[in-house]
Amino acid sequence: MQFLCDTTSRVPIYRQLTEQVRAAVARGRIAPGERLPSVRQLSRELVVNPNTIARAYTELERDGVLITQPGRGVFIAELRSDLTKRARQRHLEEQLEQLIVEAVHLGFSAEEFLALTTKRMEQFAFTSPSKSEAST
Amino acid sequence: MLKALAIKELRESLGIVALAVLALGYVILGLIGVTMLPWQSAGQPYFPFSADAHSFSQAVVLGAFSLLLGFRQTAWELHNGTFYYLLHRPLPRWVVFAVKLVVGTALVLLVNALFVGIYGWWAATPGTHPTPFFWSMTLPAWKLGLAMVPVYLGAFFSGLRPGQWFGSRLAPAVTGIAAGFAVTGMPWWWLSAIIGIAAVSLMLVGIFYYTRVRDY
Amino acid sequence: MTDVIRTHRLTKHYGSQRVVDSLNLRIQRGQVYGFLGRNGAGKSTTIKMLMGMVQPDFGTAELLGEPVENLSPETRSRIAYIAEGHPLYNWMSIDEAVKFNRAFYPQWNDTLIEQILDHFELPRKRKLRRLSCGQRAQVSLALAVASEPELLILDDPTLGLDTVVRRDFLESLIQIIHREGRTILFSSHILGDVERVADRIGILVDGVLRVDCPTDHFRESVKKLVLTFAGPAPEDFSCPGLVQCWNRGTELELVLVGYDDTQRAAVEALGPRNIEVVDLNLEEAFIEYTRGKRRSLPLFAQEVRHAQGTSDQGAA
Repeated sequence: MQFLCDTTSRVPIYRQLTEQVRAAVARGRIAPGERLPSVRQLSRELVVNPNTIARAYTELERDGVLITQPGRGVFIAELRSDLTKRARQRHLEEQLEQLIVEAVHLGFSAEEFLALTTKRMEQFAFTSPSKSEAST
Repeated sequence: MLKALAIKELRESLGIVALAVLALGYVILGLIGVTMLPWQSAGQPYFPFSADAHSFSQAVVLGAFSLLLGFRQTAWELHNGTFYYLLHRPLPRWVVFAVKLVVGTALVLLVNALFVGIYGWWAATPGTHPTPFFWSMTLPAWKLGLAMVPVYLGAFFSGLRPGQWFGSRLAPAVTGIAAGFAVTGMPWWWLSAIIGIAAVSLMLVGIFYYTRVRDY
Repeated sequence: MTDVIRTHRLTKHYGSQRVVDSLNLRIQRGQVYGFLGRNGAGKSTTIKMLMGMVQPDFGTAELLGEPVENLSPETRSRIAYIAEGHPLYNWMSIDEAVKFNRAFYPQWNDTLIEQILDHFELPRKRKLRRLSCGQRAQVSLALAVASEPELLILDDPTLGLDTVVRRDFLESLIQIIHREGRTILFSSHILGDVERVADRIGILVDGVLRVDCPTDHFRESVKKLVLTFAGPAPEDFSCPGLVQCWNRGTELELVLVGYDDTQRAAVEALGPRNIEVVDLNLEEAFIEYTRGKRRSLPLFAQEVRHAQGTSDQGAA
């Protein structure tokens, strides 16, 4: 996958990296089991201090997005969540609510909003329903 | 390390040395009666090492050379910021400066020796001029060379000395010139020697003091 | 002893002006420390004092555990120092400069310098005076690195370099960081570079070290608040950690350090209609922070020294 680093952004570099990995996973650009560049490789490529890269990887690993296999490298983990279905749903609803508030204020109808959402969703790789049930 | 440093100092002095050699060559040619420029009257060789004329030219050229060399070795590096590079090389700071001083002093004496040697060699060659010549007649010329050492050290010191006011910065160079005059002017050897040694020691103490305490 | 650089109340006056004021700097082994400050803030003077090129009026400094005023040649050979403007002897060719430099170091790495010179495609026979700024900087870095130093002290190494050369230079710096246990102190005025490369930053404001913390930490804790009021905004406001305060009619702009609940409470007590919290990038945070009412700047330093440490686990 392609990483970018923008020092004029208001987002710290390590968070730019974590967000890029999360987005790439969500869009299906990078699949579970795929290997990411090593800390050193990425540090050289982006011209960024290796500790910053390591920090990004550590946070992603803590969130279960990555797994490090000692001696082999860093890989994208299978999607999973330690939270209960209800907790996850509540979290999602909160986010959704904000989005809907914004949509209403911008003057969109419910149909328009739904159509737009469906269209955008096509670009992302959602987990299949059976799998999602299994993880609860 | 020392060799690299010495070579570097020599290389940096090369231009000034070349200039001094050219000037001394010109002086020698004048002294031995070769006309340099067409409108000058036909050359009349001076009696070697006996006239004031030669020691004046010798003093002016050597003096200018010593002053230039001293400033070149210190003020130049300060001006270009290369002291930050040079003084971080892993050897004691006094060694760096000692190499500079040894090379500089050697050059001053060597350039003078070249002058006295060539001029003396001409004078010792039979048939070149009508007066008798003994090598002992060159002694004052050698002394003049030695008298240049405090002049050189004074310039070196001035180039190194921090100071807001121009006059106070130049004080060591002026002192060096005065000491040089005193050394050549004294009729007794022992007095010249005392003045010379005192001036040189003072300069050295001052130089090594400032190399330690000054801000580069 | 993990402090590679340590100063204690280091102070320097030029005339009546205090250029460096009681500086306590501690840099641990393996850290990459970005030293920031506006022109004349005392960065260069501090670095010169560390290198023994300028004598402090007060205080002490140690490099690799040795007092700087009489650093032994052996210790000096473990430290690379690049002064501002990359001073070198311009009459030398690149090859001559390498040869000259090599004479001083027993642990000189010939292979490494060959690699670097080849990598940058530098013309070996050319005199340094005929090189571009960027090429001189590359030669200077190559010379510094080839002596296998444990500690590199670079005084604004990218000053005057164009964007492309600067990037090359930073890449080399990253490669140096990859060699383990290297400590780097570099001053710069290009904040983007610092954010990429430095683990930790120090900001000097008028000779005082106002900030000394992990790079992200600083940037995240400086926030700009825009308060909107129904009527005219209050004339003045004060709370701990306030850097700036501007009254813009019905708006009050605040720059705060370490934005937390107590500050939020203080701000809310003013009764604004709306509070907008703006994140800043490093450059904005730096600008807001350093152009403030100088003397009243809140010190924020010396916290979480050990929490951050120098995690080399990432570089391994």
